Amino acid sequence: MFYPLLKTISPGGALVPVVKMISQEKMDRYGEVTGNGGIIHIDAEYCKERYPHGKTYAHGQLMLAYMSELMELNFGLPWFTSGVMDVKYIGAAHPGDTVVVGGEVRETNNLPDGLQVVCGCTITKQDGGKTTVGTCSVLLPVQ
Amino acid sequence: MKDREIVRVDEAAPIIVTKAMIRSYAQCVENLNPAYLSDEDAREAGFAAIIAPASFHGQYGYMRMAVGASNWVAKGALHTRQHFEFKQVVQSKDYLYPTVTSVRYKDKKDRPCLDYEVSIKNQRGELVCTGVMSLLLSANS
Repeated sequence: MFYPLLKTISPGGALVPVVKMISQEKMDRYGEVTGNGGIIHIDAEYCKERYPHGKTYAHGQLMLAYMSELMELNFGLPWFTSGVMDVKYIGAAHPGDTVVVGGEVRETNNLPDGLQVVCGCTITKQDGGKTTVGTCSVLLPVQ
Repeated sequence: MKDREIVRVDEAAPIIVTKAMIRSYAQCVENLNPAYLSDEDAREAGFAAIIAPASFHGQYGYMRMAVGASNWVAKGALHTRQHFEFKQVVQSKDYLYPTVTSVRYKDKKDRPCLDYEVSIKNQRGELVCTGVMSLLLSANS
């Protein structure tokens, strides 16, 4: 069930990416399930009147869930018990966008409890614009 | 950043994690590991019951707790930054006990900001997750 996809861990190595398509339906569902139903996420009419692009904004927390999935897929269960993520929202995704959630290993550190892997992670839209950047780290136990 | 002022500290009502909550969260973020959906698959992965994606308690719980406990998110606030530290796997039937500390401060540009600092423990008293959600408030907040 948890088979880490990243087999070779060394600085500069790319993580196996995650790709997601954003739709209003998915955003509505996310808002409904998590209680994060801010008007800019769900009300297309409101956004049409107020913003030049006229579109709703995908939840920042949804981007964060995708980034967490990236780490989970690449590193497996240790992410659940030692994962640290620090992200900054620098752009918006809208319905109709496709986002690629990717990253690379920035550094590895041998610690008493295992190997700490620090990754730089980014969410990029189909037009190259970035929505989210951050640092994620995980501690892999000594085998 | 200067003059961090604790506005309030809240202990939100505990969240009892159910299979339905985990499944609907996993489905809405399209993270469909079978261990989130079926007890049998979770057992195969070494757990007693369905487990939650790491981002579940960071988010499902987080938003409800931060907003529910403190009972206010300033209108027009911009969510600028998020920090999470995951400590424990969460399974169905777990109880999550959150504490939310709301802290106001000014950033380097003298703009008003608010941090929700959340820590979540389970029914065994183990720390499950900590997080900080940073908001940039509108000038008149």
